Amino acid sequence: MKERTLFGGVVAFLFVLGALPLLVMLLGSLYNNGSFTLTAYRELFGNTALFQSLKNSFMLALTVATASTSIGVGLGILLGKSDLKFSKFFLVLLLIPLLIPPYILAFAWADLFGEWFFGFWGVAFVLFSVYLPIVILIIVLYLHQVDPYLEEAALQLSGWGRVLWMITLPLIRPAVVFAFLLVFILAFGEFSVANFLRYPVFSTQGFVYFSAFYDFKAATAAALPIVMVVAMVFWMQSFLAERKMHFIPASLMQKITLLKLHSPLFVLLLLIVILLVMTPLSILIIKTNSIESFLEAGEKAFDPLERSLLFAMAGATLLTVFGFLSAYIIHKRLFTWYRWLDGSILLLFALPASLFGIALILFWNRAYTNFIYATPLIILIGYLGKYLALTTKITEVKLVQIPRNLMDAAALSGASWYQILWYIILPLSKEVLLVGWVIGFIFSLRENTITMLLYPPGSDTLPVYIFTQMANGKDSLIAALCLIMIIATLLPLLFLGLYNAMQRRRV
Amino acid sequence: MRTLILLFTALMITACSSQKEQQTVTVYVSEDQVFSEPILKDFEKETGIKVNALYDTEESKSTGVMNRLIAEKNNPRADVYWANEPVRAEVLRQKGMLASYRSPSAVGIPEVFIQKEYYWTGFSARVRLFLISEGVDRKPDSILDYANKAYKGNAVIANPLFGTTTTHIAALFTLWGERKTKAFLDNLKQNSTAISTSNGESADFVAKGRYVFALVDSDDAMSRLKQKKPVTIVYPDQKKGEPGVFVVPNAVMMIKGAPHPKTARKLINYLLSSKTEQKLAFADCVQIPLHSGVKMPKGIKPMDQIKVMQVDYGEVAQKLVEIQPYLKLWLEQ
Repeated sequence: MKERTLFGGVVAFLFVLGALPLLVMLLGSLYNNGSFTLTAYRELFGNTALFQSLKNSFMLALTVATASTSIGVGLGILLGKSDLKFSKFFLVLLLIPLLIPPYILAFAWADLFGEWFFGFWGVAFVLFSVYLPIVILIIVLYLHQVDPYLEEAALQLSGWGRVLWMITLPLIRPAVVFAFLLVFILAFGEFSVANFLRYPVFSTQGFVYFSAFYDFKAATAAALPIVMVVAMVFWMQSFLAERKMHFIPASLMQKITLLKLHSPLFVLLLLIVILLVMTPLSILIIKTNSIESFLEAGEKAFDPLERSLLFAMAGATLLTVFGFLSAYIIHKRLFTWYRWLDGSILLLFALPASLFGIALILFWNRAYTNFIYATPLIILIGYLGKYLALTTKITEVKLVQIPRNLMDAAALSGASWYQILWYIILPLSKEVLLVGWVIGFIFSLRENTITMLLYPPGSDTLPVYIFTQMANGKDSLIAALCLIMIIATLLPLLFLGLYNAMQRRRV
Repeated sequence: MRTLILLFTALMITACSSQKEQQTVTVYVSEDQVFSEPILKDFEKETGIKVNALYDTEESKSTGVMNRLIAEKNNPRADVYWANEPVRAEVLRQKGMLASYRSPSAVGIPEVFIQKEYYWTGFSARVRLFLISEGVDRKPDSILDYANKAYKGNAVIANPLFGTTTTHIAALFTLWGERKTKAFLDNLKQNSTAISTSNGESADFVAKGRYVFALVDSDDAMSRLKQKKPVTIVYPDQKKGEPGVFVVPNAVMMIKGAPHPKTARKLINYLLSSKTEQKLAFADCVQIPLHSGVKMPKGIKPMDQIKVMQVDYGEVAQKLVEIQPYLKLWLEQ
């Protein structure tokens, strides 16, 4: 089969799954009883409160992205490139807020600080603590790609401070830009924390149209500014992020020796972990109150947890496979319109999950597609559409770094495109695919908005179950359920970590 | 790689495998899961019919399930909808999404809580009452006290765009008319009344002493009383000439084109029974039975001892849709 035929099929498949439902919904918002109308859009832009909320969202996203990126890059370098003791342990600990649904963290922090936590800074702090691990993870991953010989050579002339500034940071600049934009988009579309802490943001506008008015057309129109923000972010990314990177030999990374700085930095990191991780966890543990609550939660959580793990594993696998295929198409620019694919994937990621969920219902809920809509396949489609950008982008940056001459040499030796893909690109991307799978797993596991809208009756997942229990459920039970979810997320990650360590030892 | 492919195929098969054939009923539920799930589990045990339930969440303010029902209109997946209030049921009826069913279990339920053509039937109700901080000298006893200067800056009400507060405001529109209700809402605002995100939050604010009183649902009030918070309850507007408390019954209905109509009827009969009402009365939500003579816990009045606001829920539903843009504007001003 020809390369373009196969990958054209992949794009068509992704289009039907994700973009077509949205297009159908968009067209629906432009027609009323068969005639074209812009009423929904006119009404929307006549709304002054909307622009204030848009401004709020923009400021919030900018604050969270700036804070997370500045601190995350520093922490990423400290954890991924220095000789700091227990750095892997710290890294795992710092990941925990990412595993907890953000509204749970808001609930815990508001319980501790009370009323003054409500508002802009409370929302920004919670989102910062949730998204900081994303930046750290991305930086740690890409530090492994920095050519150690360049740093080694620079170290002959200068200290680590200057080497980091002049060599390392410029080399990981695409990752820094990617991390910033990723956090910006996530914070821009976040709804639950702002809603809980009573700060008016743009995504609540769409929610109001959905919830109070049952007006899908107005809700679709309300998503338009988000599309504009995504377009802007996409343009910035192509402008800022360098695509060409140097060949990186698979040799050991240059480690920063902290010397006198070791103790103060160790204490600083410990304080950050206590603040961002141990405090909300302690609140949850204190709220759990007793072993009985934990056992009760365990009994109630068993079935939803089993489903959560199954869906998340299947979702992560799909995300990894299609993330790789999409990244391959974009990287190789297989089609002249590859940027449309790139933009669509990013758009799906940035769109409010509720809007995408409704679009999927309207599109897939038909008698002849019941095999999709009435089964968990619809949830997997939701995960795939929503989070494909994550695995695509992660894989894409790796593909950029695979040396072109390896593929050229293989091609000259008569290797076909799929032999190059199977024997060169895939093996070299193994690590990044594993990271993509883990990220896909985490995001699928903690997802609740799409799942809530799409899960077939009787197939709720643990985050949805926790959410529904929050309406008048016992605080102790909810806290225990959250702890179970954290443990359930950490266990597979620990197994993966152990597997990884064993593989490395074998090598 | 082959192992991975095999593993993924196994995962997909497990994740998507259909349940074995047995009698089932699919119910969408807006009543809180903590209260509704035990009832549905009992139904499963007693009838052997498997219940596939889909619950609403606090975040979606009991409208997530509604949106899904509307989105699924052309190919319904649900057999039964258990709504936590009748007005949203009316919205569905007006959209032509309900099937009429006259349940034998509805005998004894007052007519005001049954849709005239039997598209929905009410059961186990909440009432809208005042939760008041203990130690207040003059307790508010009318909803008009929200505009009373004696309580300026000391009252809180949940966001009127969501949940039972919207329904209550819509009921006032049908009862008082547009001019009086709008004047009341303007006065309420001028009296520096705080707007919370939910009735639960309003109740917490009063329990913490941040505000003197709040109009909340009886289940929110009872839970704070059970937690021994320093609060007390008052049934507002009980005097002669006053409208009485607004009652919010649960409502159960069959979806038009339900895939399992037989089991749907069985579930509706079960939910409307006195037995279910008694269970909900003794649950933490302490819902008031609509059948008379059903046992109730202490501390809450039975329906026949409360002066109830007389409204047509169909009219309230129509009004609710009409006033949404006004309420949104009112909130933003």
